[in-house]
Amino acid sequence: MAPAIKTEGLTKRFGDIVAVEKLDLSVDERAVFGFLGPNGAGKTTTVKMLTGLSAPTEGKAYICCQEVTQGSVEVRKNFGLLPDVPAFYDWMTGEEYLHFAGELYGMTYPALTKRSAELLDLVEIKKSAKRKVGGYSRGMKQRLGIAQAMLNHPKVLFLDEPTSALDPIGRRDVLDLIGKLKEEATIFMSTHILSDVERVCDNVAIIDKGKLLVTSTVDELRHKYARSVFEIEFEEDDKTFVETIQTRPWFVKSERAAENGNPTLRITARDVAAARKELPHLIAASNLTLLRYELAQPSLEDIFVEVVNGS
Amino acid sequence: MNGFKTLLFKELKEQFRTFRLLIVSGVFLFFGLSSPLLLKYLPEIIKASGQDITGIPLPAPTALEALREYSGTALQVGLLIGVLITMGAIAGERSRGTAVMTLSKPVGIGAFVTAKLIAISSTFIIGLVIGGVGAFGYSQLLFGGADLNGFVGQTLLLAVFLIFCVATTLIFSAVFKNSLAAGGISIAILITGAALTQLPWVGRGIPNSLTTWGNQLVAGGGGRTEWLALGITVFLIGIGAYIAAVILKRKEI
Repeated sequence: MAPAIKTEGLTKRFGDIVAVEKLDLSVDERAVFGFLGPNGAGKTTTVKMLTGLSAPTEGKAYICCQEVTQGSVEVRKNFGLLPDVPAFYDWMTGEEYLHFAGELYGMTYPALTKRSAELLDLVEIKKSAKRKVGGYSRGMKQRLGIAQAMLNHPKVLFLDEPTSALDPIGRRDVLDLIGKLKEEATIFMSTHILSDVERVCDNVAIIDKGKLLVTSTVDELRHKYARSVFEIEFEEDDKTFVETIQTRPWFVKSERAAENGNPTLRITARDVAAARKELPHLIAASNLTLLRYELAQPSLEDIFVEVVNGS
Repeated sequence: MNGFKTLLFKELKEQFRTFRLLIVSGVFLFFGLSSPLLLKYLPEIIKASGQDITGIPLPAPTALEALREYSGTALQVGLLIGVLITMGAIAGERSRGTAVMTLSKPVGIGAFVTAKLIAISSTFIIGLVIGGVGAFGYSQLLFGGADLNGFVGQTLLLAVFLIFCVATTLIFSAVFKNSLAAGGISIAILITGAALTQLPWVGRGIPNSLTTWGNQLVAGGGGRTEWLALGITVFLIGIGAYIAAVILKRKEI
């Protein structure tokens, strides 16, 4: 199966500044691809090159096997774009904008009327559809932006920071929507909100200073960056318990952290298997009241920080 | 040109909905009505201001003078408004981010630029027609004996020249992301063009000589016709739109 998005050595330089350097990506069809990076990493520049809004200095980009260039009109029929800050003509109403965008996609009037009504309902701005966009809040503009990007049932959907302007409920709705869209489109989501990626993405790529640091599935990343850290919470003072485990051969270090306001003991083990086997017995023997015991899974945030700092 | 019809319709609607059409038409109509009126009542106005002009012989105002006065004003004001309205046409869309939304769709950049040129030009043509009707009607009413053919010819030439100003400004609006920079450079270029009319040979072929030809027409004919300048101006309008599209294609949207 041919990839929905493919880049070959995609590079963008602004004078001496390298915004994106030799980016090689391949995104499968029907995948939700999270494109992660700190601010200024080159995410938006990449999205602009992928959508033909900026010419690469070197390299090529393909959407559904068609090369993307600044003048290519045909390839634009295959994708929808939600930019990081969606901007509209303030004098138009939300409904008018959808009709304008749909006509540019060559949609017929009946199909357009049906689709725009459907999308306005889906992004929950139907009540404001006849109001001028100039009076919309940032969140409403974001919702309208999502609707216009989905108008022509695109094969690929580029979402640049799709949840950045939304309140928690709006964010949940948009992420749910992305989850549903997965069945009909490939989604390329650029973001620095890691919890969003954890929730909806199958694959991720981490970019920093224009360089691709890692690309993998979320599960593979978790496995690769798995840490041998146990988190234990006791009701009583755990001093004697710590003294006991310090004598064990697998013990590396212990530290105290506060998880949700509760003092948590974090124990790093050299041999996870041995520690997993022994720790429950040691806890039972300590006569302390156990509140929580778990082998900590690294969050995507931990991995992200580790990957970016290690680059 | 993909999306041209939709883009043109949107641009025309924008001229109307953002009151540009109303403002441009209003300005031309204001000068169209005030020029003959001011000329007619100039002696009374001077007297009312307390100045003694009994010793100064004032020639009787004519329709020709009134229309010439209006034409001169329409040229200067039209040029200024033309630049002001056009300078943000592309630069503004790029800086606000609306160009990203539009040009990420299956739209030709040529269609995007041409739709703007036609819509803004239409606004000026409508404004000139309304202002012209006002100026001619009022001149005829107040003085009589106005030459319709000459005035229509002059208005057409003025329209072509203003469209040239719009096309020139569009080029710089594509070059710069800052509307003010686009406007400033455009005005400088257009004023330089006016200075070049004094040069022999060169002066006859540049767009600014259309205004001289127009003045001769409104004065009742005579003088030289400047078909070469008209041809060159129409060519430059087309080339201007093409250059703006080529520049925009190479820019970061």
